[in-house]
Amino acid sequence: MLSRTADNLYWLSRYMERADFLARIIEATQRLATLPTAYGGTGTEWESTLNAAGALEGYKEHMSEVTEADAIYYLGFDARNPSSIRNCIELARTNARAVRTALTIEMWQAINTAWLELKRYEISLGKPGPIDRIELSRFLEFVKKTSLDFDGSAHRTMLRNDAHWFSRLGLYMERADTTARILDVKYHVLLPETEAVGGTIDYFQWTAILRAVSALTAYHWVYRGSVKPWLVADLLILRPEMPRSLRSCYDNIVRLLDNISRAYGRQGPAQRHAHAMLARFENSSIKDVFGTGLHEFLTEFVESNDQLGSAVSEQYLIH
Amino acid sequence: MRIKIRHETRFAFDPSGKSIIQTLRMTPRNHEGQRIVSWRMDVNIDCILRPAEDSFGNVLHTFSAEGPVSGFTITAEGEVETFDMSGIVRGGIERFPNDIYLRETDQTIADKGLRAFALKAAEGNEGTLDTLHRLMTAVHEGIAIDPDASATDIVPAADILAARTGSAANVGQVFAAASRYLGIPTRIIEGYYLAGPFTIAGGHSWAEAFVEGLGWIGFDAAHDLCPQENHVRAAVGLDRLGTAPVRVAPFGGLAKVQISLNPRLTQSQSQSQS
Amino acid sequence: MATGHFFDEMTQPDGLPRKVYERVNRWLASAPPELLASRRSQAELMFRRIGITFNVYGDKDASERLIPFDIIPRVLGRSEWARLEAGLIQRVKVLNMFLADIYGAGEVIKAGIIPADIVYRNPHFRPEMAGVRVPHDIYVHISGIDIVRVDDHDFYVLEDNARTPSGVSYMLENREVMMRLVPELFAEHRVAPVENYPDALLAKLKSVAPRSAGGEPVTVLLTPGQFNSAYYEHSFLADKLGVELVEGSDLLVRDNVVYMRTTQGPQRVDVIYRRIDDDFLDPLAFRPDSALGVPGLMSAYLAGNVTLANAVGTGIADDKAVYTYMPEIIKFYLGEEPLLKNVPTWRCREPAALKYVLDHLPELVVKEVNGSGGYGMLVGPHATKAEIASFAEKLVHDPAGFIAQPTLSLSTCPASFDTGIGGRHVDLRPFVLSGADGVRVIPGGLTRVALKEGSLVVNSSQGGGTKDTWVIDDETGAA
Repeated sequence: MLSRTADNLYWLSRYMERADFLARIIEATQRLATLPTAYGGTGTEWESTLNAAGALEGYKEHMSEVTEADAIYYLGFDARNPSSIRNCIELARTNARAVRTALTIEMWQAINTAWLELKRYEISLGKPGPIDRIELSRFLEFVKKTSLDFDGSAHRTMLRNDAHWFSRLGLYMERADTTARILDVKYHVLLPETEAVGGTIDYFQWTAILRAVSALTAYHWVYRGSVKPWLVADLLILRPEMPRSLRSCYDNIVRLLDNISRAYGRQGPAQRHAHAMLARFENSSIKDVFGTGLHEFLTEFVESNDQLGSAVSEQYLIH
Repeated sequence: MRIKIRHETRFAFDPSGKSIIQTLRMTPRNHEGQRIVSWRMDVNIDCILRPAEDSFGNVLHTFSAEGPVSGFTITAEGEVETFDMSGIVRGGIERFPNDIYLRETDQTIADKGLRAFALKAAEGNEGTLDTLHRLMTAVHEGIAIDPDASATDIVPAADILAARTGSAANVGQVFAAASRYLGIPTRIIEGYYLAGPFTIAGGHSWAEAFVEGLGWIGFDAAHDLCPQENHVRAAVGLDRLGTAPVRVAPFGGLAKVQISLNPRLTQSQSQSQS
Repeated sequence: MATGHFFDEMTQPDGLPRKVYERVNRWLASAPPELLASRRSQAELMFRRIGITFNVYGDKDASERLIPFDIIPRVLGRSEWARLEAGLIQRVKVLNMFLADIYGAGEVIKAGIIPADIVYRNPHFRPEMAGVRVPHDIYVHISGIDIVRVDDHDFYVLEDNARTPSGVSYMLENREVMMRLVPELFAEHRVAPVENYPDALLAKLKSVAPRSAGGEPVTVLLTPGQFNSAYYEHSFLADKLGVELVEGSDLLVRDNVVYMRTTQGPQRVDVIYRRIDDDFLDPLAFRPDSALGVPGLMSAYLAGNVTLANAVGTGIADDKAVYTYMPEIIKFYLGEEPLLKNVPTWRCREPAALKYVLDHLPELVVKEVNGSGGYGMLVGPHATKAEIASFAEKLVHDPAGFIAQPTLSLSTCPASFDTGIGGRHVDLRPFVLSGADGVRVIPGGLTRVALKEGSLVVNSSQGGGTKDTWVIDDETGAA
């Protein structure tokens, strides 16, 4: 297939997944930010979130101080933020439109409908200032639902060939990236020094994380116990049965890259890089992760995942 | 007269290109006023150089190379014997009826200023040949040659006239545009000009106009003379876009920009907190 | 429904339907207004649904920009179609012969059939193509010839579109929608199918592949990209043809061979159905600022390693000045009388014609020969005195730049509205394909209709709509 088509499919999925992540992280942060100090509220939640979303630097160029309203506007609608939800949906649609014939009607409709709907929210929410909370939560639901629609229609209707593989590859690459980022938010919302890890405050924070990635129930099923930080990290990093864990994402990434290399009769740096990363997850325990330092581990992962992205681009998409 | 020519064109790219493709028109051919003693083309990187002939009879090389390409030098080199034909060009390759040389191209649009200029220059003329000489002088006197302007930048005639200044290579288009407007078939020549005993001005350009009964006659308005022994013709066309020694295209490869989230998870937050 | 002095496709001056329209007429007469109304809104819905793709491109509020569709078909009988078809084949054959000639020996000019300056001074004559042989001497692989009629006998050619004619996607979609919309009408007619157009096109394209192509020539459709107004059609056609829809940046030229960039590395391309104008094809040969094209494409083309459809330089054949000579050109090449008429045209370059035109400006349509998009155009009957006066000045200044035609009494065809059924002016663009094995016309085409009462302008930008065009067996109409 055309490199450009593969590129568009791959990025289309990434943007949809990113929009979903941004919606989830905004929800989680809203929750965290409403906690009284005694329960873990620190007043720095939005700064952490902007940071985890890779948007802090850009934010500070345009805004003088970090407020909830400004942060939500910047992450959600600001045209100056290249990865605002608004821009993600628009970029997704631009990519989709360029490969219209490589998409199924259902996939196209999922994106195009969302894009049209987005305009309505731009009117109600698309300017800085006080937030209509009800409307915001409707909007965040809408974004998550859009991503589900797209994901589901791709899963149900797309022919299983390289077009599908590149599309899914984008999804898992982005999902791995954003899962790491969500975990890292927690790292940044520092505990008061007196608070022991695993205390009440911590409980609310980790719960918010789990809730953000719709994994609270899964957690209870897997661990049958109260929420503990290292287990949350275990679930979201190493557990193969957890669909958005880094490990699970890499199971999929490796499978997809292998499908591609089998179909093309050739493998390259992307496959080698992905295999090496998967091996690392297979051979690590959560103790190793915390031994490195959670933040350090996540930082390194995000960079390495980004390098895989470059390798995929070089090998297939922009040569 | 025997003229030795060495024409080097250097390109440097930063960042380097993934691939490069160009078309080159820098190989002179014989006519009564010039005989090619020897000629060769060379590019100093691994590349493919395919010769062909364009529809005007010019030798056209298509040159392509796979990257990364950071730079290269194209060398056209040889020896040409020239004869004084009093500006008249005969025995060359003629592929088109004269009508085509009356065509207005994007480079030779006769806008209001150019039309007025042409009419004024032709005022009181005594026939086509006289008109052309008057026009040549008018262009020569009306447009200051800017020695710093690049010969390879191609500027439309109307712009040069409006600015009243331009590179020596670009004034030929002003002459051609005006002369075509006056109904005289005129074409653009790209080639080499021997300015002094040892100086070759690389990439000069002038015009040729058709005079009934005489044929094609060269007019080099930049130097206010008809070519004798000091001009070597390398390419002929409707305008300089058609005769340019080198046509360059931007780099190949897809230039789509997709956006990733910043892959640096910074620690600024934790530092400010602790 | 007869509309005075205009020829109506359905109704004769005596009020009775023409034979081919008998069943449509009966259907219209028996259909209650509510039924027609519901079909109209159904049609709109269907187009909107497919049309999510139709209309959104390049315009943020494009949901309003569906091209209106009228549910009453334009019907042609088999025998009238046969006449039209023969004329189209003749015309397109000659367009190809003409191009091969002017880019070759130039006999038509030497014989004095057409003045040299009209060809050589024309910006659409591409000197780059002189002396170039294209496969099977086919230049115009795809053409859309705009046809109008003013009576039940003669078809007139309004314009030959020999560059990158568009509209064929409407022909195909209109039929799809109609078959779902009015199955009862289809049941009563034998309508010649149009849906094989993509197959026919692909076969023609492959038939002109360069010799150096492999057994199964690789064909692509080259689009300027998603911001082009016809992008929907490009992607629609690529999909139906089963070929890659490529942009200039997807292609590269290496050693005079064209490749497309694929996930498996460069893959050779043999035939390019290009929907990019000549000017933008190759920045090394044409406009140097073109970012839409492929550097080196012309070199590969001239080396005979890739076929472009349509060929470069076909614009000279559908030029308005050349158009006026088409009847003579047809006689010159074929020794036959033209089967389709030209609209009578005054060439203002000829002093007698200029005088006539200047004297009759208020009744004429004057067009700039190299103009496009109706910029340098005067529609006499609709112009003010001042406009006419200023146009007269332009004419005197540059007579060779203009042609003039009478205001045509385009035929009308019934169209359905909320207010009832009314006759509206129509034209027809049939699509004609040429390849190694000859010329083929798809039975039907795109009927454009001026939906504003009395309007003669069928352009979609000015309130024009489209209709499905049926070529039916004469017997069914007569039964």
